Amino acid sequence: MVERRHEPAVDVAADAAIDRALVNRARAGDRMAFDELVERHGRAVLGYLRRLAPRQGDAEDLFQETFLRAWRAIASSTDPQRLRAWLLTIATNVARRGLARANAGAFEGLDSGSPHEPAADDATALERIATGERASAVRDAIERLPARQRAVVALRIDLDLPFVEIARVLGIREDNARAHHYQAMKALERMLRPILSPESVPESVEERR
Amino acid sequence: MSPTPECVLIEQRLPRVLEDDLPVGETALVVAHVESCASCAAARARFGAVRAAVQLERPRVDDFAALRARVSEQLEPRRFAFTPRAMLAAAAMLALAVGSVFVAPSVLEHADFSTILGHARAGLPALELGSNLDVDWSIPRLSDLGAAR
Repeated sequence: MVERRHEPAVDVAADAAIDRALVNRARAGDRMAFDELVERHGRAVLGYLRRLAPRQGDAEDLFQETFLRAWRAIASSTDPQRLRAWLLTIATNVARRGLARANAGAFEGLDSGSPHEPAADDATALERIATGERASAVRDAIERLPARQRAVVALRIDLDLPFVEIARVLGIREDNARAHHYQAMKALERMLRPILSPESVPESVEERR
Repeated sequence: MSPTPECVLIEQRLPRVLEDDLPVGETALVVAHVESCASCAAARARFGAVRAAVQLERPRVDDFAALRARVSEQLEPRRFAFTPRAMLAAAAMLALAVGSVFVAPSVLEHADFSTILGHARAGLPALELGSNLDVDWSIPRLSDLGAAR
């Protein structure tokens, strides 16, 4: 089974309380408080944007725009409990506009230089090559997904958001979020089958029929 | 074992099983099927491997500190924000101000304040506003003041 993060309820409540206090201070114009919010949630937003816009440099610009918009809008944000989802919604909208603006597929492509986790240090040279190839194949496969499927995968697998929250962030229905997730997993499974299962595991049921 | 029509339905639910997103009863049905079906067990292994690979290839964020500093440098001091709440408060204040200009004079002209205060006193406990306060609560009407002049 897949390893899962389960945060204790106390930590979640304490985090929410800290967010609430920081949001209230930021609403009053406290830039230090907002900076602390960037520290607390920025990595999640940056990782998400890198999934949506894998080309080097794009995600960084979108990240900056996301938080500058958030700073301007935080006074009218409604619920500090949903702060991360709110920031991710802004990031989605900023990326969407970026995708629309980008000509010649600025956010598409299979940029091998995009920043991702390095291979394990203790791998032998051969393993490293194999791992590097595998990592590159996984990145390529994710980047080939339609933007919305990529967003669902990032929000669900990277950020552990429930589907109801994913639906809110993307402005779609919850069952659509689940459908996008299934389609994405199915497409990834098809693309990665040769890499992830070298001994040629049986193909999927639907394809056999 | 060849896949059955049930296998199609099971396979569609496998990613949700991996996300702990299915209702408990449905999960139990899927798990029971997978235990007895080699094809669906293989499919579950493949979806699990895909999920693990995606998780492992999470984008790097080790340049985050520099980006955070960039954002921090560009935060402008907040000016007055025209938020819905602020607009509502401003509208309420304006309505009060306008109301006090147009309504208050006519109320002052016609109101019998001794009656109003009498009602107010009647609504309060006697101990708080009682016999120790030997005050004449009656207030003359404005029209009476005019006549006296």
